[in-house]
Amino acid sequence: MTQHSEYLHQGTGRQLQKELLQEYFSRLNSAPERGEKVAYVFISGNIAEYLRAFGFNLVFPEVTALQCGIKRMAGTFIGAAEDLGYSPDVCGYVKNDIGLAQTSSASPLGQLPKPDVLLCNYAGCRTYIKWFEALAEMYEAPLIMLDVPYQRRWDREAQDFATDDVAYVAGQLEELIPRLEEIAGRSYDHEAHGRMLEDSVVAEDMWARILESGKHRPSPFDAYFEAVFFMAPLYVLRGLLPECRQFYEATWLEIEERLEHGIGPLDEERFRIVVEGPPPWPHFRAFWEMFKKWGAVSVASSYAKVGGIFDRGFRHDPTRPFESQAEYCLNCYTNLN
Amino acid sequence: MSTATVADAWVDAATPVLDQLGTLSERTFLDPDLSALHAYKDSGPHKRVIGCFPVYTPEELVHAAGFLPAHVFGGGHIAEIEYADARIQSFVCSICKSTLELGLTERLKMVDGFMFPSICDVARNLSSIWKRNFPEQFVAYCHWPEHADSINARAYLRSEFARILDGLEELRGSAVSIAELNDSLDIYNENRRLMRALRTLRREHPEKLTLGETYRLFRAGGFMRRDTHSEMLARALAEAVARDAARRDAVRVVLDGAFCEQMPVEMIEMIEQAGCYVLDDDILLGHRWYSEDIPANTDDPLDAMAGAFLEQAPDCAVHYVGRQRRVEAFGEKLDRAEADGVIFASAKFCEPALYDYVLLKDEVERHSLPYVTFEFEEKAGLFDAIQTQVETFVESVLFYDDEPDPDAPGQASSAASSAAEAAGEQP
Repeated sequence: MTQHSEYLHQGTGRQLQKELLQEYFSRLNSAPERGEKVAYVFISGNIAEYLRAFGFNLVFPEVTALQCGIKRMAGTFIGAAEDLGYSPDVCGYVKNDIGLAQTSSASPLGQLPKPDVLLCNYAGCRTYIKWFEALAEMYEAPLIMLDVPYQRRWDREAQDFATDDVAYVAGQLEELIPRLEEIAGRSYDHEAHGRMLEDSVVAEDMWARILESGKHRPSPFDAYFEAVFFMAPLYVLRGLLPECRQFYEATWLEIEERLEHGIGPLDEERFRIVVEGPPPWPHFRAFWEMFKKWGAVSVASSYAKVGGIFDRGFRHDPTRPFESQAEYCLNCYTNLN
Repeated sequence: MSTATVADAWVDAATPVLDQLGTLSERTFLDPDLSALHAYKDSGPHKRVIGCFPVYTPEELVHAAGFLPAHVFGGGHIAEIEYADARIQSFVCSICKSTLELGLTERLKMVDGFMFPSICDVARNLSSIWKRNFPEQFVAYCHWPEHADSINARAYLRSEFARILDGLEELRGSAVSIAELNDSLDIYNENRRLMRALRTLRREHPEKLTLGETYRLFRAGGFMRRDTHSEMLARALAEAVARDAARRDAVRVVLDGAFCEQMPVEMIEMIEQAGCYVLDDDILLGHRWYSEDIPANTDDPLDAMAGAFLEQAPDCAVHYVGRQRRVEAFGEKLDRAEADGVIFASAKFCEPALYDYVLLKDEVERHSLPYVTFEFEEKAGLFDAIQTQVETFVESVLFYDDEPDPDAPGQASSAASSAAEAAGEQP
């Protein structure tokens, strides 16, 4: 673990994130050798703990796509998808993933395993449906829809108490158990599900604290460029004990130390900005450098909320696993009107 | 036959309906002033107009409340985009932009509310943009279940219909009774029965009724109450059945991709004039969202609607049914139509159609059928290139396409593709 000589914790977050994700993908890629099953699922409002309670290894195609983008491999895959007939006007994430599947090439994350099931939790983006419909054809894998209604009441308060939607989504999670057990070849572990959610709550608390720290002057972290690294474990590793929780405990120490010493991501914080929208992956570093050059620090961003709006108070509830996962899907950022 | 009917306000009783489709179009969907909607609104103190966006919104509920469900399917040729670009991205379809433009230029002032279905991200976001710009209106975003075989879907969908009905009742100031709902279901059942009969006639005798005529007839229905529309359809059906027309040597095609944004009516007419019989299509798909009658005699009409929706809603680009694979359903459609070829016509920037195209064309190739692909916009005044493409496609099928060589899969389709390339259009 690299450390800045004067400080105990600086650099911890980025280093640990790298190690944990490398380990995660290496285990994921060897899942078929161990006879373990693989589910594909989307990041927004993902139900990682639920699926891991069946023992599924999880592939998040959006993560694959952005990794291909940042490593500048996406162009080849997008081109391969367009050769199949995909329009230049449709989503690059989808084309990257389909091009990758078609060319059977290794991603920057290694040779990803094929899906045993595609679970389409399309919270907020209908392109997800079309994406998994295509993958279902290509992999000949079963496609299961988790129907997550969009937030469609105009009165925020009425929406927050939309218990009928929660019951609907929770009901689907319960009803899918036998089908997923059959695919997984093992039983759903209710007790493990609860334990995973307990750990998620700790990680979510820490992550919310990190996001809140952007209010300080200077902000101890960049809520857009650095957030990309710091948020990944919360979306990808939730339900893996104890990695996810440990990451946030360690990273919080780093942020806390920055707060104590008044240090931020740049030597001087000249501009405090809020960023909307996802990063331009193929030019991520150049884009960041431009902000650094001007002394601009992101103190908040919408992209840091794509996987959950923990800053607004949402936490998983281990005592109500299905309802709680349903609330998570329904209230994720991309599902808000 | 001199009994005056409501339909007489739209078409002359003494002249065949099929001879008046031009005038009917001018009075309804081609009218730049949308006078039909104003007239309805002004016809009484409690008359309300509810805009309905494609593909399917529950207009049965609107009708039951005594309001007019008005099909606001874009601005087509009647709106120049001037303000909408400031509120919606440049890289989205025309129909969303032009519908918003109609609102922003106050040409939809007669509208008291708007329903948007869950067909795509753009239409969904348009519902929020609409609410923000027209906060006084009743705006319903309808989320249709995509997990149709879920045991929870029916109760969910019933509650979704109930939520929308609540909003309509608030607008009316009183509850809508079960009898009113059942009457409305009856009227819509009758209307859909007539449209089914017209479509069946077209499939069996495409020479008796053109695609353009069918479109004009069906589309006009979005500007009047459905009982009125049914009177007109019944007359048109009888006229078409009695028509004495010779069958042309035309290419039997299935058209896919035009389920939301409207092709200019002249483009629809051009396709058949270029030498095709379009025997199945997804134009105005919402009209056949229910393939059979919805039970109209129950004490829970909303539940009856929910049940019918889950069993009958069509498998299409914007609704995942899950009863069977989308490509399989499409293959069956090709077989039913005994198609010689396929036309993929998707609106510019229409993601659902553009995604589907890739999977469906593979199915077409498995059927060893040729296909042609083009993108359109509702505002396309000139479409010479598309016309050339369709004509070349027709010629390639009629004159050059012998029995496909079994050792060369995709050969037939490559003929069509090169026709497309020759026409200078990118698929």
